[in-house]
Amino acid sequence: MPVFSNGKKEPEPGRPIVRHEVIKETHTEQQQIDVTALAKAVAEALGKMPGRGIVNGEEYEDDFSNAKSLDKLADSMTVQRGNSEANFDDLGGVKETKKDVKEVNKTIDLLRGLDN
Amino acid sequence: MSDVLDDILGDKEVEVIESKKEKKTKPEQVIETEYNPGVGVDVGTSNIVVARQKKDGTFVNRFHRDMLYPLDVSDEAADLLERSDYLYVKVDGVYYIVGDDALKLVNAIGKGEVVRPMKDGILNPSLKESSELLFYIIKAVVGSPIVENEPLRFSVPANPVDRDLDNRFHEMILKNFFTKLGYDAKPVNEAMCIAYDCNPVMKEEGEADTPLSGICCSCGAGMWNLALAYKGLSLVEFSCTKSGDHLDEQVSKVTGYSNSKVIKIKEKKLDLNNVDMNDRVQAALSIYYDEMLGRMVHHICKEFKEKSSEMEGSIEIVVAGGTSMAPGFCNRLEEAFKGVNMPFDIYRVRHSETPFYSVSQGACVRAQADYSKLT
Repeated sequence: MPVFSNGKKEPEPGRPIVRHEVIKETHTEQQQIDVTALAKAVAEALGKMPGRGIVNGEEYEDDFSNAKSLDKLADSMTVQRGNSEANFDDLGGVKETKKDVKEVNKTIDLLRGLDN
Repeated sequence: MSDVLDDILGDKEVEVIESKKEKKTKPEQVIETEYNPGVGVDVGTSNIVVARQKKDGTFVNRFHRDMLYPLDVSDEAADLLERSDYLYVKVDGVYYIVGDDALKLVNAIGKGEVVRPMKDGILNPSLKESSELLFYIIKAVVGSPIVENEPLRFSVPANPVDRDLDNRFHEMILKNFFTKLGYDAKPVNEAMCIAYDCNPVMKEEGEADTPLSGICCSCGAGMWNLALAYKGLSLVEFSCTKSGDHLDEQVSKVTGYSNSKVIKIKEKKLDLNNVDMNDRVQAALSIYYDEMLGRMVHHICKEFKEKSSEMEGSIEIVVAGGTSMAPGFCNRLEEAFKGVNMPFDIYRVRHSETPFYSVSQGACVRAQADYSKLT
Protein backbone atom coordinates (compact mmCIF):
# COMPACT_ATOMS: atom_id res chain seq x y z
CA MET A 1 0.00 0.00 0.00
CA PRO A 2 1.55 3.38 -1.03
CA VAL A 3 2.02 6.23 1.45
CA PHE A 4 0.98 9.63 0.07
CA SER A 5 2.57 13.02 0.59
CA ASN A 6 0.14 13.85 3.41
CA GLY A 7 1.62 10.90 5.29
CA LYS A 8 -1.63 8.96 5.05
CA LYS A 9 -2.62 5.92 3.11
CA GLU A 10 -5.47 7.86 1.39
CA PRO A 11 -4.66 10.67 -1.09
CA GLU A 12 -5.34 14.26 -0.02
CA PRO A 13 -8.54 15.41 -1.73
CA GLY A 14 -7.93 17.43 -4.90
CA ARG A 15 -4.25 16.55 -5.24
CA PRO A 16 -3.02 14.48 -8.16
CA ILE A 17 -1.83 11.01 -7.40
CA VAL A 18 1.83 10.58 -8.25
CA ARG A 19 3.01 7.03 -8.39
CA HIS A 20 6.68 6.33 -7.84
CA GLU A 21 7.91 3.48 -9.93
CA VAL A 22 10.93 1.49 -8.98
CA ILE A 23 13.14 1.53 -12.00
CA LYS A 24 15.35 -1.49 -12.38
CA GLU A 25 18.75 -0.37 -13.42
CA THR A 26 20.31 -2.39 -16.18
CA HIS A 27 23.91 -1.77 -16.87
CA THR A 28 25.92 -3.80 -19.31
CA GLU A 29 29.55 -3.06 -19.67
CA GLN A 30 32.04 -4.79 -21.87
CA GLN A 31 35.52 -4.76 -20.46
CA GLN A 32 38.78 -6.25 -21.48
CA ILE A 33 39.73 -8.36 -18.50
CA ASP A 34 43.27 -9.49 -18.02
CA VAL A 35 42.34 -12.97 -16.83
CA THR A 36 45.90 -14.06 -16.14
CA ALA A 37 46.48 -11.08 -13.87
CA LEU A 38 43.18 -11.94 -12.21
CA ALA A 39 44.27 -15.53 -11.75
CA LYS A 40 47.59 -14.41 -10.32
CA ALA A 41 45.86 -12.11 -7.87
CA VAL A 42 43.52 -14.89 -6.82
CA ALA A 43 46.35 -17.38 -6.48
CA GLU A 44 48.23 -14.92 -4.27
CA ALA A 45 45.12 -14.25 -2.24
CA LEU A 46 44.31 -17.92 -1.67
CA GLY A 47 44.62 -18.89 1.92
CA LYS A 48 44.90 -15.25 2.95
CA MET A 49 41.36 -14.04 2.34
CA PRO A 50 38.90 -14.95 5.03
CA GLY A 51 35.32 -13.69 4.90
CA ARG A 52 33.24 -13.10 1.82
CA GLY A 53 33.92 -13.11 -1.88
CA ILE A 54 31.86 -11.71 -4.75
CA VAL A 55 31.99 -13.40 -8.12
CA ASN A 56 29.78 -12.30 -11.01
CA GLY A 57 27.64 -10.34 -8.58
CA GLU A 58 27.02 -13.33 -6.34
CA GLU A 59 28.25 -13.23 -2.80
CA TYR A 60 29.78 -16.26 -1.14
CA GLU A 61 30.18 -16.80 2.55
CA ASP A 62 33.49 -18.55 2.22
CA ASP A 63 36.93 -17.45 1.00
CA PHE A 64 38.39 -18.46 -2.36
CA SER A 65 38.82 -22.03 -1.24
CA ASN A 66 35.09 -22.25 -1.82
CA ALA A 67 34.82 -24.56 -4.81
CA LYS A 68 31.86 -22.64 -6.25
CA SER A 69 33.67 -19.32 -6.36
CA LEU A 70 36.81 -20.86 -7.82
CA ASP A 71 34.76 -22.69 -10.42
CA LYS A 72 33.09 -19.46 -11.52
CA LEU A 73 36.45 -17.80 -11.95
CA ALA A 74 37.83 -20.80 -13.79
CA ASP A 75 34.83 -20.72 -16.11
CA SER A 76 35.45 -17.08 -16.96
CA MET A 77 39.01 -17.92 -17.90
CA THR A 78 38.31 -20.74 -20.31
CA VAL A 79 36.47 -18.64 -22.86
CA GLN A 80 38.52 -18.26 -25.98
CA ARG A 81 38.55 -14.85 -27.49
CA GLY A 82 36.99 -14.39 -30.92
CA ASN A 83 40.05 -12.94 -32.58
CA SER A 84 42.23 -15.95 -31.81
CA GLU A 85 42.97 -18.60 -34.40
CA ALA A 86 45.06 -21.73 -34.89
CA ASN A 87 46.00 -23.62 -38.04
CA PHE A 88 45.58 -27.09 -36.50
CA ASP A 89 42.83 -29.35 -35.17
CA ASP A 90 44.94 -31.95 -33.50
CA LEU A 91 48.55 -32.26 -32.48
CA GLY A 92 51.18 -34.60 -31.30
CA GLY A 93 53.42 -37.52 -31.99
CA VAL A 94 52.31 -40.98 -30.92
CA LYS A 95 54.25 -43.59 -28.98
CA GLU A 96 52.90 -46.98 -27.97
CA THR A 97 54.15 -48.96 -25.00
CA LYS A 98 53.14 -52.50 -24.15
CA LYS A 99 51.95 -53.49 -20.69
CA ASP A 100 50.76 -56.75 -19.21
CA VAL A 101 46.95 -56.50 -19.19
CA LYS A 102 46.67 -58.73 -16.10
CA GLU A 103 49.00 -56.50 -14.09
CA VAL A 104 47.13 -53.36 -15.13
CA ASN A 105 43.79 -55.00 -14.27
CA LYS A 106 45.12 -55.94 -10.80
CA THR A 107 45.99 -52.29 -10.20
CA ILE A 108 42.57 -51.18 -11.47
CA ASP A 109 40.89 -53.61 -9.07
CA LEU A 110 42.88 -52.19 -6.16
CA LEU A 111 42.05 -48.62 -7.16
CA ARG A 112 38.32 -49.34 -7.49
CA GLY A 113 38.19 -49.48 -3.72
CA LEU A 114 39.56 -45.97 -3.25
CA ASP A 115 37.19 -43.08 -2.68
CA ASN A 116 38.45 -40.42 -5.02
CA MET B 1 58.16 -34.25 -35.17
CA SER B 2 61.66 -33.07 -34.52
CA ASP B 3 64.74 -35.11 -33.87
CA VAL B 4 64.97 -33.43 -30.45
CA LEU B 5 61.92 -35.23 -29.12
CA ASP B 6 62.86 -38.41 -30.91
CA ASP B 7 66.06 -38.29 -28.93
CA ILE B 8 64.28 -37.73 -25.64
CA LEU B 9 61.91 -40.56 -26.28
CA GLY B 10 64.68 -42.63 -27.81
CA ASP B 11 65.59 -46.12 -26.68
CA LYS B 12 64.20 -46.05 -23.18
CA GLU B 13 61.12 -48.15 -23.62
CA VAL B 14 61.31 -51.88 -23.12
CA GLU B 15 58.71 -52.71 -25.68
CA VAL B 16 57.90 -49.81 -27.91
CA ILE B 17 55.93 -49.76 -31.09
CA GLU B 18 56.82 -46.58 -32.92
CA SER B 19 54.31 -44.81 -35.04
CA LYS B 20 54.05 -41.33 -36.46
CA LYS B 21 50.83 -39.47 -36.71
CA GLU B 22 49.82 -37.20 -39.51
CA LYS B 23 49.37 -33.69 -38.19
CA LYS B 24 45.88 -33.08 -39.44
CA THR B 25 44.08 -36.39 -39.21
CA LYS B 26 41.15 -37.14 -36.91
CA PRO B 27 41.81 -40.01 -34.50
CA GLU B 28 38.36 -40.24 -32.95
CA GLN B 29 36.92 -42.93 -35.22
CA VAL B 30 39.86 -45.26 -34.54
CA ILE B 31 39.67 -44.56 -30.80
CA GLU B 32 36.01 -45.52 -30.59
CA THR B 33 36.65 -49.10 -31.65
CA GLU B 34 39.98 -49.87 -30.03
CA TYR B 35 40.26 -48.22 -26.64
CA ASN B 36 39.09 -48.77 -23.09
CA PRO B 37 37.19 -45.76 -21.72
CA GLY B 38 39.31 -43.67 -19.35
CA VAL B 39 41.96 -41.16 -20.39
CA GLY B 40 45.01 -39.88 -18.51
CA VAL B 41 46.60 -36.47 -19.11
CA ASP B 42 50.01 -35.37 -17.89
CA VAL B 43 49.85 -31.58 -17.93
CA GLY B 44 53.55 -30.88 -17.61
CA THR B 45 55.56 -27.69 -17.69
CA SER B 46 57.46 -28.94 -20.71
CA ASN B 47 55.15 -31.46 -22.41
CA ILE B 48 51.51 -32.45 -22.56
CA VAL B 49 51.12 -36.24 -22.73
CA VAL B 50 47.77 -37.98 -23.17
CA ALA B 51 47.42 -41.75 -22.62
CA ARG B 52 44.72 -44.20 -23.61
CA GLN B 53 44.88 -47.97 -23.31
CA LYS B 54 43.87 -50.43 -25.99
CA LYS B 55 42.00 -53.58 -25.09
CA ASP B 56 45.18 -55.66 -25.65
CA GLY B 57 47.00 -53.66 -22.94
CA THR B 58 48.99 -51.34 -25.23
CA PHE B 59 49.17 -47.76 -24.02
CA VAL B 60 48.94 -45.16 -26.77
CA ASN B 61 50.57 -41.89 -25.70
CA ARG B 62 50.15 -38.67 -27.66
CA PHE B 63 52.61 -35.97 -26.72
CA HIS B 64 53.35 -32.41 -27.63
CA ARG B 65 55.92 -29.88 -26.52
CA ASP B 66 54.37 -27.26 -24.32
CA MET B 67 56.35 -24.36 -25.70
CA LEU B 68 55.90 -21.56 -28.19
CA TYR B 69 57.93 -19.00 -30.09
CA PRO B 70 56.29 -15.58 -30.53
CA LEU B 71 56.43 -13.74 -33.85
CA ASP B 72 54.87 -10.31 -34.21
CA VAL B 73 52.32 -10.14 -37.00
CA SER B 74 54.04 -8.68 -40.06
CA ASP B 75 54.26 -9.34 -43.78
CA GLU B 76 57.52 -11.25 -43.22
CA ALA B 77 55.95 -13.43 -40.51
CA ALA B 78 52.87 -14.10 -42.67
CA ASP B 79 55.15 -15.02 -45.57
CA LEU B 80 57.22 -17.37 -43.38
CA LEU B 81 54.09 -19.12 -42.15
CA GLU B 82 52.68 -19.42 -45.64
CA ARG B 83 55.85 -21.00 -46.99
CA SER B 84 56.38 -23.37 -44.06
CA ASP B 85 54.26 -26.02 -42.38
CA TYR B 86 54.67 -24.48 -38.94
CA LEU B 87 51.70 -24.89 -36.64
CA TYR B 88 50.69 -21.71 -34.91
CA VAL B 89 48.18 -19.97 -32.69
CA LYS B 90 47.43 -16.30 -33.29
CA VAL B 91 46.43 -14.45 -30.14
CA ASP B 92 46.31 -10.70 -29.59
CA GLY B 93 48.24 -9.80 -32.72
CA VAL B 94 51.06 -12.28 -32.11
CA TYR B 95 51.73 -15.55 -33.91
CA TYR B 96 52.93 -18.29 -31.57
CA ILE B 97 54.70 -21.16 -33.32
CA VAL B 98 53.84 -24.24 -31.25
CA GLY B 99 55.79 -27.29 -30.15
CA ASP B 100 59.17 -28.51 -31.33
CA ASP B 101 59.12 -26.07 -34.22
CA ALA B 102 59.37 -23.29 -31.60
CA LEU B 103 62.63 -24.76 -30.30
CA LYS B 104 63.95 -25.31 -33.84
CA LEU B 105 63.09 -21.77 -34.88
CA VAL B 106 64.67 -20.09 -31.87
CA ASN B 107 67.85 -22.11 -32.38
CA ALA B 108 67.87 -21.26 -36.11
CA ILE B 109 67.19 -17.54 -35.65
CA GLY B 110 69.58 -17.31 -32.71
CA LYS B 111 67.68 -14.66 -30.82
CA GLY B 112 64.73 -14.51 -28.47
CA GLU B 113 63.54 -17.34 -26.26
CA VAL B 114 60.66 -19.79 -26.36
CA VAL B 115 57.74 -18.99 -24.08
CA ARG B 116 55.95 -21.48 -21.85
CA PRO B 117 52.24 -21.40 -20.97
CA MET B 118 53.22 -23.36 -17.84
CA LYS B 119 55.82 -22.38 -15.27
CA ASP B 120 56.86 -24.23 -12.13
CA GLY B 121 54.11 -26.79 -12.63
CA ILE B 122 51.19 -24.36 -12.94
CA LEU B 123 49.86 -21.78 -15.43
CA ASN B 124 52.54 -19.20 -16.15
CA PRO B 125 51.39 -16.04 -14.34
CA SER B 126 53.86 -13.82 -16.22
CA LEU B 127 52.46 -14.76 -19.64
CA LYS B 128 49.21 -12.90 -20.24
CA GLU B 129 47.87 -15.38 -22.79
CA SER B 130 49.00 -18.52 -20.94
CA SER B 131 45.58 -20.09 -20.36
CA GLU B 132 44.44 -19.50 -23.93
CA LEU B 133 47.62 -20.89 -25.46
CA LEU B 134 47.67 -23.91 -23.16
CA PHE B 135 44.07 -24.75 -23.95
CA TYR B 136 44.67 -24.64 -27.69
CA ILE B 137 47.42 -27.20 -27.20
CA ILE B 138 45.50 -29.39 -24.74
CA LYS B 139 42.36 -29.42 -26.86
CA ALA B 140 44.33 -30.46 -29.92
CA VAL B 141 46.20 -33.26 -28.10
CA VAL B 142 43.36 -34.68 -25.97
CA GLY B 143 40.62 -34.92 -28.61
CA SER B 144 37.01 -35.86 -27.86
CA PRO B 145 35.59 -38.35 -25.32
CA ILE B 146 34.82 -41.84 -26.66
CA VAL B 147 31.84 -42.33 -24.34
CA GLU B 148 29.56 -39.79 -22.75
CA ASN B 149 31.17 -38.21 -19.68
CA GLU B 150 34.26 -40.34 -20.14
CA PRO B 151 36.39 -40.33 -16.97
CA LEU B 152 39.56 -38.28 -17.35
CA ARG B 153 42.31 -37.87 -14.79
CA PHE B 154 44.75 -34.99 -15.16
CA SER B 155 47.95 -34.69 -13.17
CA VAL B 156 48.42 -31.88 -10.67
CA PRO B 157 51.46 -31.13 -8.57
CA ALA B 158 51.43 -31.10 -4.78
CA ASN B 159 52.06 -27.72 -3.18
CA PRO B 160 55.79 -26.99 -3.08
CA VAL B 161 57.84 -26.92 0.10
CA ASP B 162 60.20 -24.25 -1.18
CA ARG B 163 57.72 -21.61 -2.37
CA ASP B 164 54.48 -20.05 -1.21
CA LEU B 165 52.35 -21.38 -4.06
CA ASP B 166 48.83 -22.79 -4.05
CA ASN B 167 47.81 -24.97 -6.99
CA ARG B 168 44.05 -25.07 -6.33
CA PHE B 169 43.19 -22.41 -8.88
CA HIS B 170 45.33 -24.10 -11.55
CA GLU B 171 43.48 -27.34 -10.79
CA MET B 172 40.09 -25.64 -11.16
CA ILE B 173 41.03 -24.09 -14.48
CA LEU B 174 42.05 -27.45 -15.92
CA LYS B 175 39.03 -29.28 -14.50
CA ASN B 176 36.74 -26.66 -15.99
CA PHE B 177 38.39 -26.90 -19.37
CA PHE B 178 38.24 -30.71 -19.59
CA THR B 179 34.61 -30.61 -18.46
CA LYS B 180 33.87 -28.23 -21.33
CA LEU B 181 35.37 -30.82 -23.69
CA GLY B 182 32.80 -33.34 -22.42
CA TYR B 183 34.87 -35.33 -19.91
CA ASP B 184 34.18 -36.24 -16.31
CA ALA B 185 37.48 -34.76 -15.15
CA LYS B 186 39.23 -35.21 -11.82
CA PRO B 187 42.72 -34.30 -10.67
CA VAL B 188 45.26 -36.89 -9.57
CA ASN B 189 48.56 -36.28 -7.83
CA GLU B 190 51.41 -36.44 -10.33
CA ALA B 191 53.70 -38.61 -8.18
CA MET B 192 50.89 -41.05 -7.37
CA CYS B 193 50.41 -41.63 -11.11
CA ILE B 194 53.86 -43.22 -11.09
CA ALA B 195 52.69 -45.63 -8.38
CA TYR B 196 49.70 -46.61 -10.54
CA ASP B 197 51.93 -47.14 -13.58
CA CYS B 198 54.99 -48.76 -12.00
CA ASN B 199 53.54 -50.53 -8.94
CA PRO B 200 56.31 -50.12 -6.35
CA VAL B 201 56.18 -52.76 -3.59
CA MET B 202 57.06 -52.93 0.08
CA LYS B 203 58.89 -56.03 1.28
CA GLU B 204 58.45 -57.53 4.72
CA GLU B 205 60.12 -60.67 5.98
CA GLY B 206 57.80 -63.66 5.78
CA GLU B 207 55.03 -61.62 4.13
CA ALA B 208 53.85 -61.23 0.55
CA ASP B 209 54.91 -58.00 -1.16
CA THR B 210 52.55 -55.08 -0.46
CA PRO B 211 51.51 -53.57 -3.84
CA LEU B 212 51.34 -49.87 -4.71
CA SER B 213 53.56 -49.03 -1.72
CA GLY B 214 56.75 -47.01 -1.88
CA ILE B 215 58.18 -43.61 -2.74
CA CYS B 216 57.31 -42.26 -6.17
CA CYS B 217 59.17 -39.33 -7.64
CA SER B 218 58.23 -37.48 -10.81
CA CYS B 219 61.08 -35.26 -11.99
CA GLY B 220 59.54 -32.82 -14.41
CA ALA B 221 60.71 -29.58 -15.97
CA GLY B 222 59.08 -27.16 -13.53
CA MET B 223 58.93 -29.28 -10.39
CA TRP B 224 59.81 -32.59 -8.94
CA ASN B 225 56.87 -34.22 -7.16
CA LEU B 226 57.12 -36.87 -4.52
CA ALA B 227 54.61 -39.12 -2.77
CA LEU B 228 54.79 -41.87 -0.19
CA ALA B 229 52.22 -44.45 -1.25
CA TYR B 230 50.73 -47.30 0.76
CA LYS B 231 48.33 -49.71 -0.97
CA GLY B 232 47.48 -47.03 -3.51
CA LEU B 233 46.81 -44.33 -0.93
CA SER B 234 48.96 -41.24 -0.69
CA LEU B 235 50.32 -40.83 2.86
CA VAL B 236 52.62 -37.86 2.23
CA GLU B 237 52.99 -35.71 -0.87
CA PHE B 238 54.97 -32.59 -1.63
CA SER B 239 56.91 -30.94 -4.43
CA CYS B 240 59.88 -28.67 -4.99
CA THR B 241 60.02 -26.05 -7.74
CA LYS B 242 63.69 -26.22 -8.65
CA SER B 243 63.87 -28.99 -11.23
CA GLY B 244 64.80 -29.32 -14.92
CA ASP B 245 64.10 -25.73 -15.94
CA HIS B 246 66.09 -24.51 -12.95
CA LEU B 247 69.04 -26.61 -14.12
CA ASP B 248 68.81 -25.10 -17.59
CA GLU B 249 68.62 -21.55 -16.26
CA GLN B 250 71.56 -21.96 -13.92
CA VAL B 251 73.71 -23.61 -16.58
CA SER B 252 72.74 -20.90 -19.05
CA LYS B 253 73.83 -18.25 -16.55
CA VAL B 254 77.22 -19.75 -15.79
CA THR B 255 78.12 -20.78 -19.35
CA GLY B 256 76.59 -17.92 -21.34
CA TYR B 257 74.72 -20.33 -23.64
CA SER B 258 71.03 -19.71 -24.29
CA ASN B 259 68.45 -21.87 -22.50
CA SER B 260 67.47 -23.48 -25.80
CA LYS B 261 71.08 -24.54 -26.51
CA VAL B 262 71.42 -25.95 -22.99
CA ILE B 263 68.21 -27.97 -23.45
CA LYS B 264 69.50 -29.34 -26.73
CA ILE B 265 72.81 -30.47 -25.20
CA LYS B 266 71.08 -31.89 -22.12
CA GLU B 267 68.71 -33.96 -24.22
CA LYS B 268 71.14 -35.04 -26.94
CA LYS B 269 74.55 -35.45 -25.34
CA LEU B 270 74.49 -35.60 -21.55
CA ASP B 271 75.33 -38.97 -19.93
CA LEU B 272 75.65 -38.69 -16.15
CA ASN B 273 77.61 -41.97 -16.09
CA ASN B 274 80.21 -40.51 -18.42
CA VAL B 275 80.25 -36.72 -18.47
CA ASP B 276 82.41 -35.01 -21.06
CA MET B 277 84.12 -32.51 -18.75
CA ASN B 278 85.68 -30.71 -21.72
CA ASP B 279 82.20 -29.56 -22.65
CA ARG B 280 81.40 -26.61 -20.37
CA VAL B 281 77.64 -27.13 -20.62
CA GLN B 282 77.82 -30.84 -19.77
CA ALA B 283 80.19 -30.14 -16.86
CA ALA B 284 77.84 -27.49 -15.47
CA LEU B 285 74.80 -29.74 -15.97
CA SER B 286 76.53 -32.52 -14.03
CA ILE B 287 77.22 -30.16 -11.11
CA TYR B 288 73.66 -28.83 -11.03
CA TYR B 289 72.18 -32.35 -11.29
CA ASP B 290 74.14 -33.29 -8.14
CA GLU B 291 72.95 -30.11 -6.43
CA MET B 292 69.32 -30.92 -7.32
CA LEU B 293 69.58 -34.54 -6.15
CA GLY B 294 71.20 -33.47 -2.87
CA ARG B 295 68.35 -31.03 -2.31
CA MET B 296 65.80 -33.71 -3.17
CA VAL B 297 67.24 -36.15 -0.62
CA HIS B 298 67.40 -33.38 2.00
CA HIS B 299 63.70 -32.54 1.54
CA ILE B 300 62.67 -36.22 1.54
CA CYS B 301 64.39 -36.81 4.91
CA LYS B 302 63.08 -33.57 6.37
CA GLU B 303 59.45 -34.02 5.30
CA PHE B 304 59.20 -37.68 6.31
CA LYS B 305 60.81 -37.04 9.68
CA GLU B 306 58.56 -34.04 10.36
CA LYS B 307 55.48 -36.05 9.49
CA SER B 308 56.75 -39.08 11.45
CA SER B 309 56.15 -41.29 8.40
CA GLU B 310 56.86 -44.92 9.21
CA MET B 311 56.71 -48.09 7.16
CA GLU B 312 57.12 -51.57 8.58
CA GLY B 313 59.01 -53.05 5.68
CA SER B 314 61.68 -52.11 3.23
CA ILE B 315 60.44 -49.89 0.41
CA GLU B 316 61.20 -49.20 -3.20
CA ILE B 317 61.77 -45.78 -4.79
CA VAL B 318 60.45 -45.41 -8.35
CA VAL B 319 61.58 -42.47 -10.45
CA ALA B 320 60.14 -41.09 -13.70
CA GLY B 321 59.76 -37.82 -15.62
CA GLY B 322 61.68 -36.01 -18.36
CA THR B 323 64.40 -34.68 -16.06
CA SER B 324 65.19 -38.25 -14.91
CA MET B 325 65.87 -39.38 -18.48
CA ALA B 326 69.54 -38.41 -18.56
CA PRO B 327 71.45 -41.74 -18.48
CA GLY B 328 72.89 -42.37 -15.01
CA PHE B 329 70.26 -40.31 -13.15
CA CYS B 330 69.21 -43.17 -10.83
CA ASN B 331 72.83 -44.11 -10.04
CA ARG B 332 73.44 -40.53 -8.93
CA LEU B 333 70.26 -40.60 -6.83
CA GLU B 334 71.33 -43.83 -5.11
CA GLU B 335 74.69 -42.21 -4.37
CA ALA B 336 72.94 -39.17 -2.89
CA PHE B 337 71.02 -41.44 -0.48
CA LYS B 338 74.19 -43.12 0.84
CA GLY B 339 74.99 -42.16 4.41
CA VAL B 340 71.66 -40.37 4.86
CA ASN B 341 69.57 -41.35 7.87
CA MET B 342 66.11 -42.13 6.47
CA PRO B 343 63.09 -43.00 8.65
CA PHE B 344 62.66 -46.31 6.78
CA ASP B 345 64.69 -48.84 4.82
CA ILE B 346 65.02 -48.53 1.07
CA TYR B 347 65.80 -51.69 -0.83
CA ARG B 348 66.31 -50.20 -4.28
CA VAL B 349 65.88 -47.20 -6.59
CA ARG B 350 64.12 -48.18 -9.82
CA HIS B 351 63.77 -46.13 -12.99
CA SER B 352 60.41 -46.42 -14.72
CA GLU B 353 60.61 -48.45 -17.94
CA THR B 354 58.71 -45.65 -19.64
CA PRO B 355 59.84 -42.54 -17.72
CA PHE B 356 58.37 -40.03 -20.14
CA TYR B 357 54.93 -41.67 -20.09
CA SER B 358 54.54 -42.93 -16.52
CA VAL B 359 52.45 -39.99 -15.33
CA SER B 360 50.01 -40.09 -18.25
CA GLN B 361 49.74 -43.90 -18.12
CA GLY B 362 49.21 -43.90 -14.35
CA ALA B 363 46.52 -41.25 -14.74
CA CYS B 364 44.93 -43.41 -17.46
CA VAL B 365 44.90 -46.46 -15.13
CA ARG B 366 43.21 -44.34 -12.46
CA ALA B 367 40.63 -43.07 -14.98
CA GLN B 368 39.89 -46.65 -16.06
CA ALA B 369 39.33 -47.54 -12.39
CA ASP B 370 36.85 -44.64 -12.24
CA TYR B 371 35.05 -46.02 -15.28
CA SER B 372 34.96 -49.55 -13.87
CA LYS B 373 33.09 -48.21 -10.83
CA LEU B 374 30.33 -47.03 -13.16
CA THR B 375 29.84 -50.35 -14.92
